[in-house]
Amino acid sequence: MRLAAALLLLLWLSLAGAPARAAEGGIAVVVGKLPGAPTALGRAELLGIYGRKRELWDDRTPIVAINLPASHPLRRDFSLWLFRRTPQDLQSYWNDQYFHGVLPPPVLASEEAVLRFVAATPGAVGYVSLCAVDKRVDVVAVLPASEPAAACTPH
Amino acid sequence: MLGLAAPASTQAQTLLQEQPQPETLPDAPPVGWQLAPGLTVSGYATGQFLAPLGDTELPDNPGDVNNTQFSRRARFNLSHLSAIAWWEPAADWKLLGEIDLQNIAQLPSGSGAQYGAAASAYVALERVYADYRATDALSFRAGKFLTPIGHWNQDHSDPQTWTVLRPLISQAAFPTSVTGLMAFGSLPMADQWLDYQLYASNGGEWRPSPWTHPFDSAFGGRLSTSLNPDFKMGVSLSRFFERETPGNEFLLAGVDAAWTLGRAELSMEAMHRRSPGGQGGERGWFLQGALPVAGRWWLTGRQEYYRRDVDGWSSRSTLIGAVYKGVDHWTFKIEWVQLSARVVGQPAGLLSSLTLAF
Repeated sequence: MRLAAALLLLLWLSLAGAPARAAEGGIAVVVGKLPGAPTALGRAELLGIYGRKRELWDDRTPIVAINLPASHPLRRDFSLWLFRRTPQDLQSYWNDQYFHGVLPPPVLASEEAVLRFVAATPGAVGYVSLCAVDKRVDVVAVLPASEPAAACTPH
Repeated sequence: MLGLAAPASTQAQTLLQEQPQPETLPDAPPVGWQLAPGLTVSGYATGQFLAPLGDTELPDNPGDVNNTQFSRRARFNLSHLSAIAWWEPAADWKLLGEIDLQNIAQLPSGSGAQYGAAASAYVALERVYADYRATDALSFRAGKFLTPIGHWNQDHSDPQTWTVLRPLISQAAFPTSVTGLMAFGSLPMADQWLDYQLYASNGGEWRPSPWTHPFDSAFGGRLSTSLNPDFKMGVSLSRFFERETPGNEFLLAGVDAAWTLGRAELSMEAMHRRSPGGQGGERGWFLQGALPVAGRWWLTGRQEYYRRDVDGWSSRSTLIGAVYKGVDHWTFKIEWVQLSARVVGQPAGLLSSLTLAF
């Protein structure tokens, strides 16, 4: 009986702790604290934004989607979650878009650069480690990252 | 919030320049030249080496059918020097133009043919249009643009394709460009985005190509998906009249799809052009594959069939080739093409090309 109770307690602790751990090691999609900024974004909306299908917010503010460098682990995780493909595997898509005058989202070199840019730019949206989020930005989506929480070192 | 703001990438570009590390994606598309805020210029150049085999390429003059100049002479051709420029003065406006210098230099020179890779030099106005984005779901385009029929015709530039030779059904069954108006946009659908294009033209083609029959009038539409990397498909419908046969109505239906598995790709297009008057019915399909074999090498293959209804004439082609996609946006293609019947402007034999995108 005590063994069953202990197992139940262990199960409850593991379930209760799981979301917190996932969130700590997750990726936060962020926007600036500016009037008209969205409060939540789903995968389909982000797919349209990062695929450059959606380029205007509802109030016609231009969307400025920002990427991290292709070699950045967060970029890889974000791309796999959003497109089901690594950044390299999207080559043919962006090649086709390029000849229609559509460039991929611009890249900033670090999470801090993303935070600074998003905080200061109306319509900007980016992604950083959840542990890197501070009061300059609002989180509109959280997705899991492959990196464990212990390795959360914004760069 | 901004009303008329700089285009999406321009603001970030300013910050980008402050960063020590630019984009490091090894296979990213070229970025062109940013000549001014919102103004990008890019393009590509292609050189072809053709060693035609047999009598499968017809000259214009039927008397020259047996002239080896037209059918068996190996030649080098600087076939395309294309310049594309687009300007986004605001987030909801885009102006895009493309000029393609075709058959700029040939060795040996002066084949005299008017069609295909042996034709003389020509400055083609590929596209010139203005886009206004009313919403993400509704944009308007006015000008000359590529006819939205099938996938290949709208994405036919050399850096985008797997083969030197363009499939017949992507160019023979309809005029490849439209001068007119288009409404288009993208709509979220379940977990994906659906693209649509609706267009209309009353003819008046701007600088029509000498080797195509321009529209006399046309309207049509296309539905397609593009954001799902595993599977893309499109459906195209069109009703049109051509300038050369103004009383002859054509109804065209087409379907296209592409599957991707890792770096391998399988694609197809099928089309049926019907003419209620009984003249001009044509149909065809192709199935094409690209299989990665080592590093940046792919093996390519294509089977194509094309048939004219009125007299039952048909052509079947088989293509086997290889493609090397180099770093810095250059691509080498080499292929062997076997045609079952002569087709104007369609060479057979050994074809190769070297393309540099910039």
